[in-house]
Amino acid sequence: MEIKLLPLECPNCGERINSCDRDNLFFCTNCGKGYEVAKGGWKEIKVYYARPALRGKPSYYLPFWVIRTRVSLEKIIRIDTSQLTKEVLNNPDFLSTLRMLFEKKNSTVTMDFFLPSFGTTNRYLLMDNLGMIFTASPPKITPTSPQPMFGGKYRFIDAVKLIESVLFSIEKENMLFNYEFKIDPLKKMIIGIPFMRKGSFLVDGLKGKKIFYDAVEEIEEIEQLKRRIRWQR
Amino acid sequence: MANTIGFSCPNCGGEISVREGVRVAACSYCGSKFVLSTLFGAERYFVEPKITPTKNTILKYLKENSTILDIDLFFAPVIVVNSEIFGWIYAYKKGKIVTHYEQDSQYKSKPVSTVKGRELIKKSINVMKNITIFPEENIPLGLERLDLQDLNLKPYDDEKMHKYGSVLDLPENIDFYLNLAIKKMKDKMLEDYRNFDELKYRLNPVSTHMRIYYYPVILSRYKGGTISIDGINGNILLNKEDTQFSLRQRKRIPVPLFTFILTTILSLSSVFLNWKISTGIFIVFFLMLLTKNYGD
Repeated sequence: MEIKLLPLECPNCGERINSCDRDNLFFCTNCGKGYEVAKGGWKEIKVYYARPALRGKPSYYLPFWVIRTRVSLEKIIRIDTSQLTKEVLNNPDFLSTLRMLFEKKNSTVTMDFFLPSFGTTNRYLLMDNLGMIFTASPPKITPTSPQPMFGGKYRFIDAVKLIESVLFSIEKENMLFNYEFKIDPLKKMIIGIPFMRKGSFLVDGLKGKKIFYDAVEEIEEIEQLKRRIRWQR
Repeated sequence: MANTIGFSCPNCGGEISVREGVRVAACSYCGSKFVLSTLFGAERYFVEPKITPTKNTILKYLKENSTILDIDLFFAPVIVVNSEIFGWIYAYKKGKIVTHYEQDSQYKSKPVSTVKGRELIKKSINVMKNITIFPEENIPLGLERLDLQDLNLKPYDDEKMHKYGSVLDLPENIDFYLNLAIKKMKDKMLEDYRNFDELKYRLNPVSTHMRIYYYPVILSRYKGGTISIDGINGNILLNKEDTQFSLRQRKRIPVPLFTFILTTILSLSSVFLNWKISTGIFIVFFLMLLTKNYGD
């Protein structure tokens, strides 16, 4: 396959795109549009930036995939609620969706999966944290103006593979391991979620969930890019 | 050290060096930034040879008075696949069987065995794995001894490579090696859990990336063996004595003697037993033909 060098400029407004070395998703800091490289060229992705619901000025915006998915299951699963995580049990809407899926034969439900599209280090396992928390209890998103956003590592094709892993993280034991789920993505978008830095933690600006600051794989590079953009402006 | 990939800047023609696995490149001359177009499938690179395939180069590694039959330089494909593996592993850690004695209603003691320490493991997986595959398994070249660190990779250039030597094709298609690499990665991850009970897993490879390095190897046949040399640092990869060659040599020794004895016996027989001379000659030639084929 021929390898080409594509100029790192926004196809929409022509602004230079700033990104980390290992990024696979690119966001324009001027017009806010998002892109991934597919078939040797740019492909646009729908991007929204969420206004913080909690007090404080966001330090970073980190990209999350939100994938509307049709999940189908042929067999019936008897739910043992004692095996479900507290995030699931605390959200009646999500629990009733799961009941619809598990307790009827040949059932199909529509679910929105939140998956971090930024890379993470071993200090924070991607699957059993924010992805599952936001999926079980989706935050209310109020769109805001485009914000500088970097660190998009996982492409749509990668994110789809992670959906099943998020589904498995809703339970403590092995209730779901024996079943085959059919997962069909219907709609995709990127949501930029604001994070505030508090000491060695990053706190999300929508629900107040904490992750380690250095759990974000390219946080140092993101910090440098943020400073450079501030200086340029 | 990471390998680097060299490109020419589309803006100013300056050399752009990109670290392997990195998508974004900047030209140090004009400052333009670029992103590599290929994200999936196989990227192909080659490494320029630093060792010249001459007789003198080869003779340095062989015994004195060795006779070199031929020397070839070729680029052997080496496949490097990296991927992040996400998912879950579920299994029971085996416990120890502990036996104790209990007294029944008739005050007789009975052994009772129980399993202690059996523990459920449900582990979330998020790891980066890297694997190297040498497709030329059927040609003994010693490729597994190649040092694949700190290489100066160049984008695959058929014309340039053929100026140095030939290029070996992949024996199978790309998907075959991609699947093989993922299978090997998963097997390696599950190694620690093989002795566990009820092992179940769902492992998904994400951001799988395959690169094919065409690595220069010098191969030379000499009287009595074959030697392969790393075309970058000159290290011997394999020096194999040709056992079949030696065997042939040993087999050839008795052939003239065998032929001589047979010829003598048959010639004498034809004279003393009054055979027709033409029959004798025919038999001798027939046997000589047989022994020659046997010798080769």
